[in-house]
Amino acid sequence: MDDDTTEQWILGVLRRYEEPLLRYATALCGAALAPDVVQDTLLRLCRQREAEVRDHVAQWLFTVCRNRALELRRKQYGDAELDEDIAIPAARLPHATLERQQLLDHALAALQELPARRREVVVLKFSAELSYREIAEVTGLSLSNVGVILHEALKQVRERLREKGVLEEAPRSSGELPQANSKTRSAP
Amino acid sequence: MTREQAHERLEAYVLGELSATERERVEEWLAKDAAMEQDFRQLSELTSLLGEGLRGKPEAPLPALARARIRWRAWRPLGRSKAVFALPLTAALALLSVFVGPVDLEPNSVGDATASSVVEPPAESKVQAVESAEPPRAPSRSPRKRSPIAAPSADPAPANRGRFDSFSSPESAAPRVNGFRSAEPSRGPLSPASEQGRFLDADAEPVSTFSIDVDTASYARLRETIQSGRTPSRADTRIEELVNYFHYDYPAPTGRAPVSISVDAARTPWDSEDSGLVRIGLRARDPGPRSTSNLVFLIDVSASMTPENRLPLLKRALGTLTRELDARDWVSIVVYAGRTAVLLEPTRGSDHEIILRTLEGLSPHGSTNGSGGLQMAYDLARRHFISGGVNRVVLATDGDFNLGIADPDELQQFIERQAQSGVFLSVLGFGASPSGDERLDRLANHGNGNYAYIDGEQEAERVLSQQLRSTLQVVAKDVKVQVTFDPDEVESYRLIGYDNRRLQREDFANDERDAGDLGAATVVTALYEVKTRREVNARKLLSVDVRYKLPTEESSRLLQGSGPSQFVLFDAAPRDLRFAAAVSAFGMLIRGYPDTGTASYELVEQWAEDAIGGKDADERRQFVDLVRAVASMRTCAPPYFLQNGVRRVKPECL
Repeated sequence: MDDDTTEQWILGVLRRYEEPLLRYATALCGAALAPDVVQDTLLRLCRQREAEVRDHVAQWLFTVCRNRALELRRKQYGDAELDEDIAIPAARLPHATLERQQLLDHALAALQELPARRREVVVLKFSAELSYREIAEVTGLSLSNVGVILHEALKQVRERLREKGVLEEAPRSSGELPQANSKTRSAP
Repeated sequence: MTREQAHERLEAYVLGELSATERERVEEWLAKDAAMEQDFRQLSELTSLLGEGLRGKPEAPLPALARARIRWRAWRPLGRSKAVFALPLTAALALLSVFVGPVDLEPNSVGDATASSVVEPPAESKVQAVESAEPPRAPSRSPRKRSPIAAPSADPAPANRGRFDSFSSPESAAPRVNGFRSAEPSRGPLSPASEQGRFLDADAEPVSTFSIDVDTASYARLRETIQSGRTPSRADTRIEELVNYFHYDYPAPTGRAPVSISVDAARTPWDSEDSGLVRIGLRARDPGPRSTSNLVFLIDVSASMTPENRLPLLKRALGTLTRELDARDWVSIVVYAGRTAVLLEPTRGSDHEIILRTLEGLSPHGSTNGSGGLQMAYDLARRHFISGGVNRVVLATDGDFNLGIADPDELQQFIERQAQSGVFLSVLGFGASPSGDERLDRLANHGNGNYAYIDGEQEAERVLSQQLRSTLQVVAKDVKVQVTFDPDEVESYRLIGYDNRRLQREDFANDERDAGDLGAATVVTALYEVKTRREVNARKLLSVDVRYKLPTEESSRLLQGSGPSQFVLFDAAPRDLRFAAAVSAFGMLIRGYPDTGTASYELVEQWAEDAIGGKDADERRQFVDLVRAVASMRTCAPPYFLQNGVRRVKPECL
């Protein structure tokens, strides 16, 4: 019956998006409020008609999550204006070398230096794995902006990492190398 | 694709966001450019690292109780029927508490029931409690079973808490990229402004923001169109301008605020079961006698202005305005057509003779290639600036002009710069075409201005004599309205009209973002059609905030209004609300809004007729006539019917 499939669908959505939503909500309003935010978001999903949300559910979830997170955050910390601070959480890589862990720590620190709006885009990309288009819809930025923001963000991270000496210098010029590198690369 | 472009797209390439052709181009570059190849490797490394680092297990998982609630709600969806909130849920809760002991409704404790074994019915009050979760409970509160939510101690964010990047700064509103400000306004989440009349989901978009519009041009144009027997077109009907043409009685502002907010509601007459109309009314204060004015008439005298309803009417209209002026005021006249010229240097407002004679002498000639007309008019206005008074350029034209700046964006920026100098703009349209009308509307929007369409002597009288103070004198500028809906009470809503006045949420507090101005003693109305989750009835559905600036200040002030107290039956609603609803429905029909329920021109006529009264009873009667005219036009379009394959004219169209 219709209801059954909807229920299955919602549970599927829950499984798939629970963690990314929690991470996003944590970034927006902290770990204390995040579970409430995500619960609310999913409860609200339950009152939508599946057919109407189904094909853009990621976008819907993150938009509602965002609204809710900011709202709870405002209630909690009482902001008169809407200002947002996106927290990049520290992370421990379970089986990484010390070097790699260090690289990550520096990278995350560099991300923290970005303006909040850009940080949010980074989180939505890497932590929530939304597409450019979905990120544009959730944040209200234009599609091209999203691309540029990610470009600039990664550029800045790399610069910082180079400054700290944990990343090699980028090659300066577009020197055409003698080795005929004609292998085509497939996108990961 | 240049190297530069390929380089910029490396991230997108790594993240799999490029189209097939773009991918190929980038790969071509990668194949021949070792430096870029290196970059690519680094980027791959970095993105994969970031991915790993940012996709760890979330610090605060969803507690089992929350998961249970969601499972319950997925199984028993509340849907949209009103009946769902009847007994069963509460009964179930009561039943449960009999077997299980008092069910603790606080979200931060597990209560007696073990969350994992009992699927609790999440009564509305529970969700309520979640919504109002104020400061997280102290961990010591519930010694029995510790809920994961209750421990806020390990908050990872504190180090970052102090660094707030304000979203309301212009930089973040539209990030500058390569020196370009991205096209404003950018798309808001899930609601492109182009989808007019669409209901918005209150969960996804609980906040609605818009700039006020005090222009009335659309109504006058509509009237002109209908009275000349043509069917109104949808494109140039701005519904809010129809509604705002009329006068509504709102209480005058008290205290120091220059504007008052009123909110009331009634069931929607075209959809009374499911929806309600919320009316938001703003009334500007009346500052008393008119201030000293410094006016520059900028008049289009090109050949296109020849028809009776253009330059000839214009002359009479400005004559009407002139007769209102006196010794405190200054008037100058600039004309533009083939060339631009100052026809009258600043003259005392009491010298009616000279001014009227100059106006009389105007005759249309030349092409519409005036250049520098605007510039000249603004310069003139600035040169004789009256501090604390009204300084305005009054542009009178048919909209078919070239003011020396062809590019619309450039024109917009030019106008905005001029507006910053404190010289405002009033646009008077005469005989404008739809594209001209659109141009004039935009011009006024960006120039701290208002736009009135003069379709006859009566309208000239109205705008330039009776309501002159409202037209000329600004009492609050950059006025924005923000309505916040409670998604637990409201399922969806739509703002009727204001289609090209929508703002992004963050524009509300961003003082750099312009909005409409309120003239002295003006009244502005906005109607929302709202679908509520339960029975359409009392409760706090929404809150209304208004931001405005005093005319001489640059920082905005906030005013808050409170939501409607109840949705009365339409027939019992105040006359003004019923009239505003009728006019809105009329506009919605013309514009072809979706979901207009039982609305029809006949019904609109009836609603409007039952609401004739008040200060502008005559205008309202005229509106009813217009509706009647359109109703018969509609029947008469086409004016024939087919009978046995032969076209016959419909009797009512003879």
